[in-house]
Amino acid sequence: MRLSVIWHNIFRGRKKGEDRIIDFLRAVPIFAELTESELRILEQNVYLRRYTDGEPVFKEGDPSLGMYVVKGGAVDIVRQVRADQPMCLATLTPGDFFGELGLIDDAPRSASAVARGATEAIGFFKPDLMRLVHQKPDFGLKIFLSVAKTVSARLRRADEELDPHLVKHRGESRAPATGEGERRAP
Amino acid sequence: MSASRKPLETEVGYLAAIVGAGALLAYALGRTLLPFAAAFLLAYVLFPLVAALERRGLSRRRAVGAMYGVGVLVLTGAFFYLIPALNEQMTTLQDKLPAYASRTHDELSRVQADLEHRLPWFREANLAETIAQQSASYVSHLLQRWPELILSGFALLSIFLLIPVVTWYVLIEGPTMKKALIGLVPNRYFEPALYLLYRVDRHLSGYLTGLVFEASIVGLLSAVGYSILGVPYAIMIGMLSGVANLIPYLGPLTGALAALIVSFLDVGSPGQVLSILLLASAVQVVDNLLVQPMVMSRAADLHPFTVLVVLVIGAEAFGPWGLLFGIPAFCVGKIFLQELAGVMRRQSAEAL
Repeated sequence: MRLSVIWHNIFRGRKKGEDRIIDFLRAVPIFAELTESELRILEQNVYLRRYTDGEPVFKEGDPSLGMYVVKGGAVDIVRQVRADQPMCLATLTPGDFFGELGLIDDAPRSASAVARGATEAIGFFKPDLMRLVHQKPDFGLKIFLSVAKTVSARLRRADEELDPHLVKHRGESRAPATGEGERRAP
Repeated sequence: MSASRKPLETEVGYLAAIVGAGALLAYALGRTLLPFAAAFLLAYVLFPLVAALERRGLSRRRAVGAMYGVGVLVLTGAFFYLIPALNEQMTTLQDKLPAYASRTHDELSRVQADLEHRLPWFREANLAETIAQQSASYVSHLLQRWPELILSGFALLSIFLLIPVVTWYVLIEGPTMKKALIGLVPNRYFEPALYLLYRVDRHLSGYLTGLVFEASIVGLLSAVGYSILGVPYAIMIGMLSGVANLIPYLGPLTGALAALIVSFLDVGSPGQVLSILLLASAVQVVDNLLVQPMVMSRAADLHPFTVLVVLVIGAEAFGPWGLLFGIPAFCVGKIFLQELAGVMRRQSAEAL
């Protein structure tokens, strides 16, 4: 390697458009309300992981430990409908995040996340969040509240999407004139 | 599409080989590693204090700096107040040693005469003379040389230089070091390894902090109690109880034994036996009912029988170090096996 290349690498500094972890974190809704200094602390508590094509980030049934933000490449969210019949629920691209429920509960992962092509993901995990809560309660609470807001928004959206189906289902179950349904299940 | 993987057994084998090689290296380096191990343990004990200061808004560096400042003040205070008191008790003990030795000799002679009367063949053993001579020379040697023994050579360098410096760096850079270490773990085991480290970390920190706190309480209660009872060398006995309590259940018992011996040698009769035993029992009850549930419950949730078995095996295999580190090592091993079992269970379920 030529000497000039080594010097260039040492003193090159950071290019303006270069992808920085903190920039990705800032764009994630869960971290949108954090201040610049809080984002810097968060940056010290996340892990950049690299995956090859088809490599699982986590698998359905694994214990939940935290969330990931896609930094490069793509991640398929896959669910095993029947044996040997995986169904791709979504494909996430840079800036998207997944697995945030893992920051709150200990329930097993409800779906697998599999890298599509060479992928980079930023992981933020419960042990680090718990440490932050312990050391800087305000900061930790802010993140917990944001996760709760995100989960609540998703639940509301799911509720809205389910609503027409429920109305239709109720209409069908009320159809018999006997009214047994209401009496049996008040 | 998916990368080819080695069977889990092979990977466990690799892990066992790495752990084994690490253990061999640690054994080969021997005493050189002790100050580093002590620094890491000290850092574990101090981490909760640093976290408490950080919660009050101090940066990590300032929190550690403040703690070191307080530490220097406490040590200076101890140096000016505790060390002279301790030295005085040591000197008194040294002065009284011939009288103690003579009393021991008289008592042993009486016991031997009694034994010789009942068992004539015991005459040849000359038990009293041998024991009295050996123990007097050993204790006198220890008392004369205790400051040198404690502060000699490598220990001095370790205590005053290496341990505080390494502890400082571990306290400041600990999270970064941990992050770099865990970053090396392959993706497949990343989350289990992170969780394992988190559990071990929480466990060790809780256990070691609790242990030091418990030892201090037992030491303090014993020193105050024996002072009130008028037992000579109460501070020394209190310190001995505290240090011995680093080994579960041993503190008050050791203190009581030392107090009984000292009391017997000083007064010449076991007049305070009952009050000493009552005090030791009271300290043990306070430790078991108040201190242990408060500081140790979340750290080492082990059945007392398991604790005893681990201590016996630890002492048999590794001597005093086994007694001291047997319980935390057992807890870490237990967590490791629990996590490994979880990984194996999930992989078997996938294979089905």
